[in-house]
Amino acid sequence: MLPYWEAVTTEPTQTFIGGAALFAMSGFEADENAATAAFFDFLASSDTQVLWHMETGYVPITTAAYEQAAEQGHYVEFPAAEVGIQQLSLEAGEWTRGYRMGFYVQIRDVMNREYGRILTGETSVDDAFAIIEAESNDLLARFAATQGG
Amino acid sequence: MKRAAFGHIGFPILLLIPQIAIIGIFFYWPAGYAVHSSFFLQDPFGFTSTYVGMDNYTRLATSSNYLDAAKFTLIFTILVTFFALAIALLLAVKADKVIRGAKSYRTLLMWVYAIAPPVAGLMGVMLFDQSRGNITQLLGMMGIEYRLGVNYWDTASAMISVSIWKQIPVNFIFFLSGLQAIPRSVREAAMIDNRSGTARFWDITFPLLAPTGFFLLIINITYSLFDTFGIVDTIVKSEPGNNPMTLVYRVFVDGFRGGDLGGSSAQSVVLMVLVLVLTIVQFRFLERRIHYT
Repeated sequence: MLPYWEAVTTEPTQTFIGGAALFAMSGFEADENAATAAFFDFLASSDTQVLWHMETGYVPITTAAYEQAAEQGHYVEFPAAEVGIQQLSLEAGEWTRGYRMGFYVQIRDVMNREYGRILTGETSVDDAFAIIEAESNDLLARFAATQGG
Repeated sequence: MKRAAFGHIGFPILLLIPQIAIIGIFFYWPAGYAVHSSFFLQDPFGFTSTYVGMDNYTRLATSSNYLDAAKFTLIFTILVTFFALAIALLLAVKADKVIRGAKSYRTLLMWVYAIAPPVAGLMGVMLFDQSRGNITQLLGMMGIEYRLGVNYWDTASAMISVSIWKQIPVNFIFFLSGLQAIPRSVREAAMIDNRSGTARFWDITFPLLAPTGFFLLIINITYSLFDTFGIVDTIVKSEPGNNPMTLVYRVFVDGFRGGDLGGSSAQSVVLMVLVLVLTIVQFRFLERRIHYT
């Protein structure tokens, strides 16, 4: 499970999904921050989320939007659209921790390369995973260095 | 000879400014920036950077992946340069001898020149595609299992052949005009001396083509090292996996996708130095052996 604010919830659910994230960076004027917050509010508003959910098939990011979509009968017409939301609403556990790490894209490239080599028979599974571990640790150490670690 | 001169120093400088500005903004500034950032370690968001000295370079020297990419780039460059030049020269010599419909043949051979590298890469991908590619099917009929994007050397051979194919017309144009610049009298004299076409080619035509060939050698090495980016990108689709990639493509993968600007800058500085060394070597050692008429 991803880190969470206890002020928002004390009962995290299965949060790990892929995709992009929006970040608000530090070091801006207060009115710029207010504009960023207003934009995030707009994106998170039920109407926007319901539109996004119905048009694209992505899950809505708030339960309010989920309920609004349900009220509009979206899941009567498209029952499959509800499954993802139900799955993500299951209780969290040890098995839903997911992962969050620096230089993830490069680590994924290492993984893809070694998986390919396994499939073409160039290497054994054990050797491939040993390489993935070594190179990933190296990249993680490098990422730690960028954060002053 | 009449000497034309500018009356004032300011005017020629003014005329030079646009060119100098373009070189400065698009070459020297980014190059200087790359050298600078190659000594730093940036966090992927680009907020902080720490001075790490030569660390980015020592990492490259010890990275077996980087050395593998360097080895592949070397093989790639040699093969692409050699075959692009050799096939183009053969075609140019043959096209030069054609009497009937010479212009149509030449136009057809130059046609490929107008194709952009990504489009060439895409055509290559379609020809070599795993399920519907014509070349894949042809090789399949001969009992060869060809797997683009899965097998290292299968992908490599697709990259190499598409890159060669794309570069042949450029070389062809230059070789053809080089051949046509050889004086008729020299050829006729050679024809009296020796009946063998092959011998005449190696003794007379080839040395006289050397200035063109030398120029094309430099152009082709640069092409293989840098301009094949579009072809490589179309074939590996920015997910190289276990497929080969050239050094310049690695700069992109590590820097722009991986967010490691320092490491990527160090790689591009290595490439800059490589080009510098290559150019010096070529002009020092090769050009001396070539006689310009």
